Amino acid sequence: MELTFDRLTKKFHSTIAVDRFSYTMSNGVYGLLGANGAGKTTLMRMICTILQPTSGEILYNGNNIQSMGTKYCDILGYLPQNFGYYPDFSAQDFMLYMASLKGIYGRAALERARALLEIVGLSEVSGQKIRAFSGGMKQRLGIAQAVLNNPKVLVLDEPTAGLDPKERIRFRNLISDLSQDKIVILSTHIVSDVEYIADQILMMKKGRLILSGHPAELVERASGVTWTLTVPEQEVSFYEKNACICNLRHTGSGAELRIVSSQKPAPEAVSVPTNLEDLYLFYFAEELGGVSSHSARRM
Amino acid sequence: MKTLVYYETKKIWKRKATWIIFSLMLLCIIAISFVFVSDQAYYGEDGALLEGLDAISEKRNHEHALAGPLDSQRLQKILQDYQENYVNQNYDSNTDYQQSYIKNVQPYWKILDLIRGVYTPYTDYLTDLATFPYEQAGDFYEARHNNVRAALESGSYTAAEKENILDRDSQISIPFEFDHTKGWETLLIRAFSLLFMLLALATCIMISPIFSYEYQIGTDAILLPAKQGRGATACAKIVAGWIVTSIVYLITVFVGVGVIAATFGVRGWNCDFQILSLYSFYDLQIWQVVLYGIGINYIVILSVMAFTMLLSSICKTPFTTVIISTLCTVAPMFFPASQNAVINHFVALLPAKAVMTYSVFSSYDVYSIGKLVITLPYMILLVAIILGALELQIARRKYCRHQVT
Ligand SMILES: Nc1ncnc2c1ncn2[C@@H]1O[C@H](COP(=O)(O)OP(=O)(O)O)[C@@H](O)[C@H]1O
Ligand SMILES: [Mg+2]
Repeated sequence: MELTFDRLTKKFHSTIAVDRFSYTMSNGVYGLLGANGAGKTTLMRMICTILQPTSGEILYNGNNIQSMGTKYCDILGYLPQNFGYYPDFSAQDFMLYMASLKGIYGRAALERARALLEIVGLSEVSGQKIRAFSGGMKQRLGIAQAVLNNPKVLVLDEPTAGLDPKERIRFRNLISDLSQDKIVILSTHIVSDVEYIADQILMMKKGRLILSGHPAELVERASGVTWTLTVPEQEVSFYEKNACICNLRHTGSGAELRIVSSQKPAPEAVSVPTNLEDLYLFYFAEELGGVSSHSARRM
Repeated sequence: MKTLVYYETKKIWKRKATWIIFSLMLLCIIAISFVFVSDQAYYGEDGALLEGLDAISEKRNHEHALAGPLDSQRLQKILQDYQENYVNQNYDSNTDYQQSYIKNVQPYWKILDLIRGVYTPYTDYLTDLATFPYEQAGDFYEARHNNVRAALESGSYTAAEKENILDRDSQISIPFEFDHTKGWETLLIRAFSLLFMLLALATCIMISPIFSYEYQIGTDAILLPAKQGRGATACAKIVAGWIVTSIVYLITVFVGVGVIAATFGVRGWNCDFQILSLYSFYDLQIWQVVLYGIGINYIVILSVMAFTMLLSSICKTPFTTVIISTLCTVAPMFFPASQNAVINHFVALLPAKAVMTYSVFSSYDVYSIGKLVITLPYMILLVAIILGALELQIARRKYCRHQVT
């Protein structure tokens, strides 16, 4: 099973949302990381055939997904960003409706819907109107409907949005359970969501794929860009202006800074192992409103 | 498919707007029936003015006493009696004058109005009929047919069209059958236009969200990638829209006709339609016109549904859909008659005009396609069916190819 992206591009008037995205996926969990506006949602919509690419194509086992028609729909599960639902439907109604949309009827639909509501922890409220659900509950319902047809390609757009920390952990486990023999693609701008469950991290910036690899491998490759440095309190503002600080801790003797930078930020800085979050900051520092991590250095 | 239709129907029924417009419509119909009833006025034998149900029943009794075929001699006699017993009398007092009116004119008014329509058609009142020499009024049906001919001569009709209309007109059944027809008159002339404009409006409101609501709340993103989410869902939506529209149509028409029948009675159902519309060239009885009207208007309302679905598949929100579809559907009602025959022919086919059954079956609009002459009711059916089918087809495609952005 293979999902191949071939120079996939989507333009909206003058903005290029996805820019010549090329990649090949096989079984596993793919974490799509990128700041807001990086093009994650646009990419996922194209994977789900609800948005036509401007150029390029997506192939499933060598076939263009657009021309596969309902055969492709059959193996697809999708949780859209800002999951839309029918407020007057109960969770069970909604699941049964989605089941019939996916071609599952009768007893099979009922059993599958019940089982999934159980798995996502909504079986007790399955009779309640979705209108009354919290953000996290809706999100879990969204995940449940996405896997109704036991999809081979599962696309989850910011699935952890609106979940509290406990729900996040639970969700991670859920994904791990569901991900067997599947291509799971999930997008997020929160590193910790995918750090431990993704087999591959894809980092997107301004529509382009800028980095991909196993989390450990990426971290390995980027060793030597993270530094700690203890400075007197009065120097903190200087570093805030000129370096990309990913953590700041006040100690008795001053402030301990964690800085990502391709160059040693100060002679007394100590190199420490890089983690995925540092790496993310390393690439997205500018978009996060900070200073480019590539240049920060005190002479 | 059945399951999908069930859910789509449920979506429409569960919407508050559906229920609000449906109940408002029924309320409106019942309220307006009260107006129709309370509008009625008729003088009792003692000279007192009766109103409402009393007026209706008094008038019904008087007119029913005159029921039967209106042959030419009888019409001539009625005109003669009118002139001798009422017009050419000397009255001592106002009371005498009124008494004479109540006895000699009031029950005959409807028939006298038919005579007026043939012999002094250029006036709205009986004034000129009062002095029209009744000796010349022995050929009611010939005179009527000649008037038709004259009207056709002065209008812009092709030879084939003229021939077609004259041919139909010479085939209407004469003499006309007379009876009390106030209920049917109220239904066809006053109630129908309101009933069907309300139905068109309700259809616009109920059907508007059918596609665009999905776009608005973002459920398009989960529908479209699903196996049955495109073609099958589009069809299910169309079927569900049809079911809901039909149910609402049936109930509304049933209530509307029922209320009028219950208050005015059903007497006169088998009279000739010409009693209500003297110059109509259709050989139909009143009940037939009512049934045809209900049938044709059903198709027209379905075409309004199709049009609304098309808009709904294009617009991003139900709100824009409902505004545009309502404007397009209701606005033509206020179009004045144009000098241009082509424009008039076109406007007559728009839903707002097409549901006015009384006008449709009274109209002299005919359409020539090649050698074929098509009368307005058939043309309305033809256009509604063809356009409706086309609109549904486009709506389906638009939805299936909808892009989520
Ligand atoms: N419908 C649209 N019209 C115009 N620009 C759009 C549209 N949708 C997305 N974009 C632009 O495409 C870029 C990528 O957006 P998106 O895919 O939503 O990013 P992400 O999901 O990573 O936050 C953004 O710059 C956004 O402004
Ligand atoms: Mg997004």
